Amino acid sequence: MDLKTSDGSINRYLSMEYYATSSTVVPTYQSFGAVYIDQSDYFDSLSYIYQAFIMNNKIQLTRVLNTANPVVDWSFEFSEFTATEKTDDKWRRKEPKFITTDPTNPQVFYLSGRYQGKASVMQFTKKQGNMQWWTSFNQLTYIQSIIEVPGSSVFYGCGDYDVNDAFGTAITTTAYTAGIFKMDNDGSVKWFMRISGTNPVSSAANQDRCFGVTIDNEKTGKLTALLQVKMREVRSSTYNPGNYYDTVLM
Amino acid sequence: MLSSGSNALFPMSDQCEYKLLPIYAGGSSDERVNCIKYDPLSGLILVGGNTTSDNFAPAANDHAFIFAIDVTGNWQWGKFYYNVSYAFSNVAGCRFSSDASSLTFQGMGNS
Repeated sequence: MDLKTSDGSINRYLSMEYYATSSTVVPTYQSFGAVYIDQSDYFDSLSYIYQAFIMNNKIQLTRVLNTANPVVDWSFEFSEFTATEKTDDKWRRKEPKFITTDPTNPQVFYLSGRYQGKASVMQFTKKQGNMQWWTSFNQLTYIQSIIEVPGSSVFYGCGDYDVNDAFGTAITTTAYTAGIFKMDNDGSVKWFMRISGTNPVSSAANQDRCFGVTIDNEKTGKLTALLQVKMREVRSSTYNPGNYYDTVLM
Repeated sequence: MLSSGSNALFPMSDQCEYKLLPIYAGGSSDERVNCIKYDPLSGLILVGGNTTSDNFAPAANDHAFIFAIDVTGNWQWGKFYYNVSYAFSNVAGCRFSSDASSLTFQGMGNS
């Protein structure tokens, strides 16, 4: 759904459904926010809607012509590399969460989030949806924020590493470390920073997470991260912090 | 339509009245925000998510909500969405269009 921000009026509402849906064929869907409208494509100047979502536990990546009569221009389904599913199989965990662009190359876009259990960034061509590269992080499970830098090929992201990645473990008790990264448009990771500390309650899990990252100017090198942390190392000892989150801007 | 009444938006506490933010919106059950953007063209902050509060949304089942405030926290507009007209029960995320003229939300309708 595309809105005019000044008054909330709807420019476009698009509902997607499996073509063979019936009373007995009812797919399950999940969405995580991966959507982007390109108002003027570099090749044909038409407007396209890019989005990714999960249908029946498989990622669907689509490009739809943004008109009053939308047409799917191309779509791809991400197949699993094995049909054998294990109990609590972390390789099947996925979250297509962000679609971002490269300010220096209008021919490509990025899909980022989680794939095969790990935080991932993929680059695709806009015209045909061909994957150019895929980078995954061994010490990052979720990407919570990713930003482009105007006029630059580099981009930044941050998120959480679910240390034990135990399926169904409550978010309140499992251990997390925060991570921030810088990548370039060739898929290379320029640096990765892991942020973690010690929960002041020794019997509780260490839980440090990153929910936002932004940069005001690439040339100044000033990066701001929004963290939720329990680590006693950065929290004031004057109020004797306990086993609860504090929000930190770093 | 969302209103700016007592259930929708007001200063968090006396302690915060001299500050611009924080403010809060919501009801007696859960609100989950999955989108927050500042639009420099309209000068508004847009917030989107899911609510199950029947004193915020029309009923206590999944509704999507989107509202806008200005940078000093004043209510501008707000809307709920459910499984009619525009089937949308949850805002999962959002992104500005390429020319930044609009904000696109992705979410789910109720089954």
